[in-house]
Amino acid sequence: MLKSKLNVLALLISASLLAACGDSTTKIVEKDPVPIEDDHDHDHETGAGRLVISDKDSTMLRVYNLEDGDLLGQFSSLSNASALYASASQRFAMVVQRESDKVEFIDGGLYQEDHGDHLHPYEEEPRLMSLQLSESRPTHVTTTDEQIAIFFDGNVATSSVAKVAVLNDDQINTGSNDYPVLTYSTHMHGAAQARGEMLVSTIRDAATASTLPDQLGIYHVHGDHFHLEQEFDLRCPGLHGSAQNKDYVSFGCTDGVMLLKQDGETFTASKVANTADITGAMRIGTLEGAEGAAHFIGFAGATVFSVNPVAGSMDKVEWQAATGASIIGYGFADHGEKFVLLDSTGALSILNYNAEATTGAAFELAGKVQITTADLTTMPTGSQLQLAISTADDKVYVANPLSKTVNTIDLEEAEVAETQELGFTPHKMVWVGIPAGHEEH
Amino acid sequence: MGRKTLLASLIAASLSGQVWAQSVQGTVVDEQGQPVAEAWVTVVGQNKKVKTDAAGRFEFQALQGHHTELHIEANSFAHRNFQLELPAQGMQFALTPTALEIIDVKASPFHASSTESALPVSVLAGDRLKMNQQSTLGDTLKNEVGVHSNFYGSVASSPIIRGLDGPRVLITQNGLDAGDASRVGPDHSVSAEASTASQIEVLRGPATLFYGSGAIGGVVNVVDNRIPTEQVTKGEWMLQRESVNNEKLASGSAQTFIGQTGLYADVFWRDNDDYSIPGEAEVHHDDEDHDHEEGASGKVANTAATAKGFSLGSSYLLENGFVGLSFGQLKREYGIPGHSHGGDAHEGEEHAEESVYADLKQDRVQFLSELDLDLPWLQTLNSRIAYTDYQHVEIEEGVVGTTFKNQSEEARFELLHPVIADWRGGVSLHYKHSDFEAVGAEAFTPPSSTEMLAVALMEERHFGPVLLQLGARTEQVTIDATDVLLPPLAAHSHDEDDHGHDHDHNHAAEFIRVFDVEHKFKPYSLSAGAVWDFTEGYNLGLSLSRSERAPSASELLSFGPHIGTASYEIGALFSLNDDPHAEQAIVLNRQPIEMEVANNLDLTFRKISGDIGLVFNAFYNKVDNYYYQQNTGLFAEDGHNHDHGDEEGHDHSGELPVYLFVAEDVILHGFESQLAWQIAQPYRFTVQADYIRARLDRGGDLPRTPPLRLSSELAYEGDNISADLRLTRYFKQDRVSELESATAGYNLLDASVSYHFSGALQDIVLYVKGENLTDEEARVHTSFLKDKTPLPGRSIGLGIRGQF
Repeated sequence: MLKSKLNVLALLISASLLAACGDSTTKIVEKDPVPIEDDHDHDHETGAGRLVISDKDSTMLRVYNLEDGDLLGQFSSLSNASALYASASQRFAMVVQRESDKVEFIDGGLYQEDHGDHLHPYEEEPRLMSLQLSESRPTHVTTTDEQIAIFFDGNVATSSVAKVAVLNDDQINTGSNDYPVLTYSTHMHGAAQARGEMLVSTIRDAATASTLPDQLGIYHVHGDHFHLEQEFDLRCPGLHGSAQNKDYVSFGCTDGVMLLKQDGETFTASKVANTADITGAMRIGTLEGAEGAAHFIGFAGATVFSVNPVAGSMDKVEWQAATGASIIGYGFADHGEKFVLLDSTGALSILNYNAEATTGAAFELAGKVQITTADLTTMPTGSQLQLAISTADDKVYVANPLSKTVNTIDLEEAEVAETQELGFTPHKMVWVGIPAGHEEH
Repeated sequence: MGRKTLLASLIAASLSGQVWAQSVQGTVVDEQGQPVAEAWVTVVGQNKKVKTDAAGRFEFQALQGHHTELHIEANSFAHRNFQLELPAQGMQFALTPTALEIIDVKASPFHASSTESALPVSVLAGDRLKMNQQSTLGDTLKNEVGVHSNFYGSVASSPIIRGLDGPRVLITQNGLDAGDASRVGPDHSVSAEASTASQIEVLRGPATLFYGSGAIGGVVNVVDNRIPTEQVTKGEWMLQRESVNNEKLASGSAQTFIGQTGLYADVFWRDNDDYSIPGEAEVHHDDEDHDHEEGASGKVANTAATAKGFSLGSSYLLENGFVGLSFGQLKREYGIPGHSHGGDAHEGEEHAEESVYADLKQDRVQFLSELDLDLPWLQTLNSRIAYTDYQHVEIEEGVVGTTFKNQSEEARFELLHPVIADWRGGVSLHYKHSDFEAVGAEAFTPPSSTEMLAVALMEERHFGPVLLQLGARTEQVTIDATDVLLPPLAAHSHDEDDHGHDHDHNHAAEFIRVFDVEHKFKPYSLSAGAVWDFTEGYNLGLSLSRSERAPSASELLSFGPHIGTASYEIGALFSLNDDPHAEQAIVLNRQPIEMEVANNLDLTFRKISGDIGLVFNAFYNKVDNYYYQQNTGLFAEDGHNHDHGDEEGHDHSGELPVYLFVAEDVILHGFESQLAWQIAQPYRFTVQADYIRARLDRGGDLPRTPPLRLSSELAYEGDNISADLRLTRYFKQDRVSELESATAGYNLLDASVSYHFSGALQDIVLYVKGENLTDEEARVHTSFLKDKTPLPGRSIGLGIRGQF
């Protein structure tokens, strides 16, 4: 309908107008008109953001502009990235290089500055930052809106101890080394969550054989280091996976999910025991949370649970997993209103999140998008689909090493909106940019 | 053989300047025969200039021709021209004292000052500039005779000359277009800084001859020394703080030379908060009983600003002139006051003003050169070239709303011929190109490119006591815009009884019509002026001109909401639909676009020498096809999506009145007068007055016309102490256009005291100044924000400045 009307108009437009009077002439040629689009879309106010993508076959990291798909810059890291994370404000990409004991930072170029009465947006060229963290085996990185906690596992082979560095975006920006570090006396595959001046971090008994810790401590910052202030008797055997929201910090244990509730400077420990849905060797080993989300979401393999810390309950989330599917990407999306799961069959499951749910399901399957129908078993060794989630709008991005493309998925429409060729094999990917404000829409 | 002779004669001709070289040597003295030191003596028509020594002596070698004219200027003396036969040795040149302050204008290739030209000019320089400088050009010049400020909440005020501003008043920096976006909207700041300027010149009346279309109402030229023209080392600095808005200012400039290379640098920084006012910011015309418990009085929100900039320049100083290059950068962030959408707050809601501010950046490269070539056909070549990259973004609630960009290049060459039969003058070639772009929510005008090419001829000659100045200029202006938009304007009248069409802006298929528009104009200007020294110490000036102006891109092509004027602006390319029941209220204008034509008559009477100086100007300016914005009575959406929850049905907030540019014949006339009386040596009393009447030929008045103004100032100039006290009366303005309200009169009392002393190898001035000492609530009739931003309340400024 729209198109036919356009054609009719185009036919009409061949007349041009020439008006003249003495020493002035005016020549007007009418061009094709443009249809008016519904402009009630605030998504572009802070831009679609940028993607930082690492290369499977080199140490190259490339930064793409999501507005137009342009390559804005490329940088070489010291070694291949084992993981990419976005910094607290999502301005920087953290390039974690576990095997070579390094963390580097790339400025995505999009950020805003607090000018007192308003946030001033900036759009600059991406750049590689001077700051480098060189500690043994950086592994798990957790962030809040303001802080980053990087857990360095340490290495038994080189007798390096575990450390936790807590820093913020300002320190990355200025290349400052004055961030505090928690230094352990042993190595561990641990987890840490920053809570302002407090740090919740794991404790491992050096006498045990497992590299997994089983205890939690509250640390308080003192200048460049931390003091242990509180140790919890409640144990978390085989601790792996952690998350936090406004009031709680959660950790995955073989026997359930351990919760620390913060009330001022006081933390109280409790545990949500595994339910009957968890059988055999199953355990929750990955947790995800968000500041504004009341629930945590935990994965025991491909089985997904929502954890309600207030009610102390744990419920299985039905997401209709395909047989043999394993979860390879996840996260809150669309301003925290949705949760997405990318699985190894190339399907993206979109769950609606209902924070108010006290009974019934907090996470409900809303749709699935099949990103690719290609045979993903032919994926090169060490490669898998990569998920990056925008906090500026309702888009998520999936990098496909097989087709060397990045797909843009519109969560509202539940469809692949766009596909961009990369020309190299993507390995890790992260979204950086200016998160949308918390104002109501 | 024949060729050889020709060659020989060519060489002879080119050497003739030296062959007949002549010299002048003399002394400049006052009426009592005492030598006048530090007087500037210039050979008129040549770039030769020297300063007299302590004994008042000067000398020129190798002058051209058999007779020459010297122009002599010195502080507190009337400028004088002397014509003499060459050679001339041991002559005395007597100057007469004056109560008037006279400084030469650099904006004109001829000598021009407030006492010598047919066209009225004034110059703000020296201590007076330092004391009057403000963060905006309009506020800096607001006390100059014939100049008012369009006071945009102190953040973006620009000067109004004889009731004209915007695209009719050209703002230049060292003679070249400032290249900003200030001519397009009153909320766009002028990108020139007063604190580092050496002088600011105002040419009142048509100056199209030198500057083209944009100068039909006058020119403001901000001059600094960014390209050094002499081998001196000097510098100045200042620190100042104002109480009314906590403005902090630091600025400084320095100039020196190494051999023949001149070097210059300046830097400034200023920062201010919202300014304080005696009463309440907003005027409510309808007397509803608003509860103002939120306390809107006290400050005018969103008027904070911070600015910084620097310029660097270097020149090569030659025997016969200079060649120089400079780079300048200016950055400014300023709030845009009065930009509250949504109108009145609902009961219980806080009336939170949206934070809107502009972030401006300008880079400017300038090349200036003046060379005396002494060729038989080319005496002097003056070149001015500038490249300017300007951008400002308007940021609303932390998000970029609209971006304005202006990239411009300009070049002007003045080729002055040697004196021919006593005629001095030459040809000016002028090129200007500007790419203007506005993108975003309030991009009311489409991207356009304007190109101007002009050639002008200027000549002057003395006939006994009469100086005759003649000029002509022809110009070609092209305005190109490839994407002029005509959106379907759902404008409607608020008077309609039944709201027949219900604001449904989302029809299934609506289209924006797009046009590729090319305008070509060939304006020309003619002017004739005469200055008659009818008796010693007096003169009479007459200036007649006919100037044409091509309307600017924004006057032609605009279509959209404009924050600065709080109106929906539509250019002259469009017109109202004759059929009032048609769906489209606005259609393409099928009438030819005409040029604006100003016929101007200026009369000046001056008494220059003696204890009482007087300058009186009267002008009559008839402008045909004067482009101005006419209120259509329609309303249109302001471009902000206010329908997040239009629960209350019909709500007029978020709508703007639609103004359409139309051309009509107008008449502007008025006068300016200045009287300076040197009562006794340290005391001087000045009275000045200006008045303008701006009316449509068919009846009715133009909006925002400055009111009658009268000011008197008593100044004391002692050895160490100087002081002044000034009272200005702005009279009531009740000659208003349709839908404009009258504005009450007000008095402003200003005073300053300065203490001068020497220290640390420099002259230092410590000063305190007070503005609006009576804390009067004053509303500026010429301001678009009259009802929202009164003038600042009482302010005490404290400062120190030095000069070496």
